[in-house]
Amino acid sequence: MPAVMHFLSMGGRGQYLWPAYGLTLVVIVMNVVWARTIVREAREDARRRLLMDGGER
Amino acid sequence: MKPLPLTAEPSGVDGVCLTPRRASSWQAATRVFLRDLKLAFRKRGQLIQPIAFFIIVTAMFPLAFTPELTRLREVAPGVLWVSALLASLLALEFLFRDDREDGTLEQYALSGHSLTGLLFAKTCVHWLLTGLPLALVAPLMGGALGVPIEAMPGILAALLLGTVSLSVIGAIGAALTLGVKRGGVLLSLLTLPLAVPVMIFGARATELAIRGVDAAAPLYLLGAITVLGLTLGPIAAAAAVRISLE
Amino acid sequence: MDWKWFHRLASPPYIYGLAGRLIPWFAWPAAVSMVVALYLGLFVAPPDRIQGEGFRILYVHAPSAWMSVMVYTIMALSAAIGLIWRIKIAHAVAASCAPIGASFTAVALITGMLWGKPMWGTYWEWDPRLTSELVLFFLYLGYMALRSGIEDLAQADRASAVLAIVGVVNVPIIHFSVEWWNSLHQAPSVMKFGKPTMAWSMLEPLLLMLLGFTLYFAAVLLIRLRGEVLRRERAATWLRQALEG
Repeated sequence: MPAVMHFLSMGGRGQYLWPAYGLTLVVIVMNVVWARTIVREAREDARRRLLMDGGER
Repeated sequence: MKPLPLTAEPSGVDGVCLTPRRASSWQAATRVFLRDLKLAFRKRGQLIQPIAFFIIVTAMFPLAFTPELTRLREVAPGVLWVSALLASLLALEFLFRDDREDGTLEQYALSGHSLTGLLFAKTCVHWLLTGLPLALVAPLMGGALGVPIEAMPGILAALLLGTVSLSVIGAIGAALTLGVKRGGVLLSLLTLPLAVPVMIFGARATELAIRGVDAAAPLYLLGAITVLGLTLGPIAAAAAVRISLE
Repeated sequence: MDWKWFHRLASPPYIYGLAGRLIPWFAWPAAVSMVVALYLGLFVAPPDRIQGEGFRILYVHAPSAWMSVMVYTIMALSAAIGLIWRIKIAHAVAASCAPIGASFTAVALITGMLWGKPMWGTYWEWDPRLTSELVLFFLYLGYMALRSGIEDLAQADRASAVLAIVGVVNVPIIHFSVEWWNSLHQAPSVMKFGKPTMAWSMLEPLLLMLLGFTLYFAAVLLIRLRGEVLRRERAATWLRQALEG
């Protein structure tokens, strides 16, 4: 337990260090999610447009 | 509105027209310069707006902050520079707007003359009517903020250089946002990051001048930025104008 | 010279397919690299003589800062290529870079603040490096704002390209600011000519993180690029086949 506590507190800097790591992780994940959402939305959009064009012909 | 003659007057013996000589880019730029000056002086009320704005904003600080001159003196560099920046930004919107609306800007781009040179001429006029008056008034406003008289030449020098940079950098922003509806805020958003070095060194030079210390170092850097801006800025602005006119 | 191979390379359907195939090759090594670096950085690297355990913020702060600058450089380079040689895919690359770069600039700034508070006692100082990094953030925002402000896509591409190129002067300022001026930041101990002055046990996780972040950026860029390509290709025939898959 003391080892875990020492790890978490990081020599007293824990309150700064962990939010920093946390934020970085969030941004890393968020970028991937955001990018994939963009692709997915573009695919659906393109699919819709092709359907409309196909219907018109 | 008379059509803008970008060609030279026809010349010939006894005034008889032989063939119209094509004006050089230098002559074209001079004409644009004079035209912009003439147009600006027709709306005399608008000429004092940047200076008035500068004075009002600068005067806000003693009212909002503190009337104590010793404390005002400390913030004087920042106040003067922020006010100068804001006043310049205000005038930048109109640098290209009128010419774009009546199609003159397009004529400039199509004229075959160096668009860089023509835009440089326009930017010169903008600075003469905005930056130069600001720089001249700034030492006086500095005095109102408790700045000693010995500091005024330094302040004048810093603002003369700085306002030139601001005009040149602002021209790029104005050119980029030509096609954007209500692009005034976007113009500021684009110009401010690029203007940061100017602000930093300008404020530093002003601060040193107020303290009575030699301000040569930041002034040299400010001068370097100005020269860089003058040489590359109009090129970028011309490229941006061409893009915006498509 | 026959440029057909180049045009095939730069053609949207080819890029769309190629990018899709390349993504795992960047994504998995990136993940492995970052996890190993995390382990090494948090558990194996010894505490710093002066800063103690707190220095470990380095392992997220430095790679983020590196990302912010590297991404901008790539963005400006692609924008220039798109502008000069009129290669549309280059503009798509530049557009894809911007959100990634902006978010990591924000991370660099915030992690920097979290490092600065215990170290120097203040969240923020107007020192040259922090200020120029902040300017970088505003340049990203301005780029994205300009793009969204102009309706015509081709015009937006080219106007934002000019902005990106003009803003590139900021990049050397960020890097050299700690050398040119007295700054709170320490002088570069890794990115300089000659041998780095950091101990290997501390350096190794940093280098691995830098590698991981870079590979990660390539992967995310490729994902975004596919999205951009789809968005730009209106009713292209190759879309039908691509979407079936």
